[in-house]
Amino acid sequence: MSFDEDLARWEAGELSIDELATAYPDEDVRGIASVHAAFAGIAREPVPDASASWERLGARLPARARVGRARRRAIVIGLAAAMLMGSAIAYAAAPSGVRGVVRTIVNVFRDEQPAAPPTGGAPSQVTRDDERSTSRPAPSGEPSARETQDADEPDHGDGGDDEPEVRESGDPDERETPSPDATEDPDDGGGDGDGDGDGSTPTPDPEPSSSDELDGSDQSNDPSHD
Amino acid sequence: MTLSEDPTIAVNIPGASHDRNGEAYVEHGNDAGVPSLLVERAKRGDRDAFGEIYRAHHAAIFRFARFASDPGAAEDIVADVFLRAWTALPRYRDTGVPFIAWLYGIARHVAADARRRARRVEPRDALPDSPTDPPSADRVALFEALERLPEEQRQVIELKFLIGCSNDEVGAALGKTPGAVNAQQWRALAQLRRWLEDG
Repeated sequence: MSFDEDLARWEAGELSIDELATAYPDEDVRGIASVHAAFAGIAREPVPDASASWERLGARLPARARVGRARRRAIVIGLAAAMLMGSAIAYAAAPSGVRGVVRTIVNVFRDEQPAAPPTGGAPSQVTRDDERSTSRPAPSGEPSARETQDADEPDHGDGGDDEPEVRESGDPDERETPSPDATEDPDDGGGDGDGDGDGSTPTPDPEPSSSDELDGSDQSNDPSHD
Repeated sequence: MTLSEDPTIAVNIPGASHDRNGEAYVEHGNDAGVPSLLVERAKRGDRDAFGEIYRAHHAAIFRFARFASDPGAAEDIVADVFLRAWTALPRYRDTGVPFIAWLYGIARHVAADARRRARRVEPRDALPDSPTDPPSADRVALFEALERLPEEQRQVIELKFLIGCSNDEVGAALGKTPGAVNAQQWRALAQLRRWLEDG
């Protein structure tokens, strides 16, 4: 046993001070014990009752009610907004084949005539053709919507500006807020659904879809990169 | 552990409660008696929960404040500590460090601020009259000697004696093993003894 360990045993009451001093004649056992006792005496001094001081302090606490819930609500709303925006941007930026797939899936759910799953060839060809004619209005459709949307799309690669303001200014809690960036989901089903009218059939006639605002709703995929 | 009248038996049980026989005992809770659930409730703005935390830790923070600054200002320091804690609580994360150690960290800053604002005077007649007190131990001298210790040793002494943490809790607070905490404690006390003896 070391000196430190025996001191701990003395502190625990397992050794007397005499035994310790005898075991370590070269150490200032009693001197150390006296300083130890001084601190122990300070620790034993009476302290005022906490209840009375709490009564005074409790009334001074600044309001901080519901902060957690408000923050959580803001986070949920922000995340939802980020996901929607991210989905829209991702869809617009997605390669035409991907958009075709998305449209196909959407059409399946809408009971539309499912489009042939995009294979390597045709859809991409269509895509390329479409890309060349980004401004060409779709026959039935809402070219304008797509173009408008394209025009509006700031930047396809841009995932950064959809960061919601879930962090209230000055709120020290920022650390616990998951970064909404992390949830950006480029492949989120083209989200909102909807797609457009039909899937990525090779036939270039996208059907207009009234609910289609977010994405190009046009078969003629994509545009724009720009 | 039992508090004994025998001065040769160690009586270091800071923060101990006493049963009906006058024997001291220390309750070992999750964190000196403050369940993490209570902390979580207080973080969400539950004043009653914070009140429980206050009552659980008031004595420890008061002892520290009284020793580290003007005893007359101790209650104000305690209030300031808990006000700051209330404000900072949303940022608190349980990382394994005892909650009381977090409060202690706040208390150190508040006490240092108080000392800077006021000159600390300790009347000699405030020294406790106990057979266990060393004859040359004077609270001001003790405090000044403590301030000279290396940071870690000083924190060990403050956490163990004033705040009432066990070696395990001090170790968790400082990132050390209980054995290392024990060694630091005795090293610190031996150094304090040398300084006090030298005058």
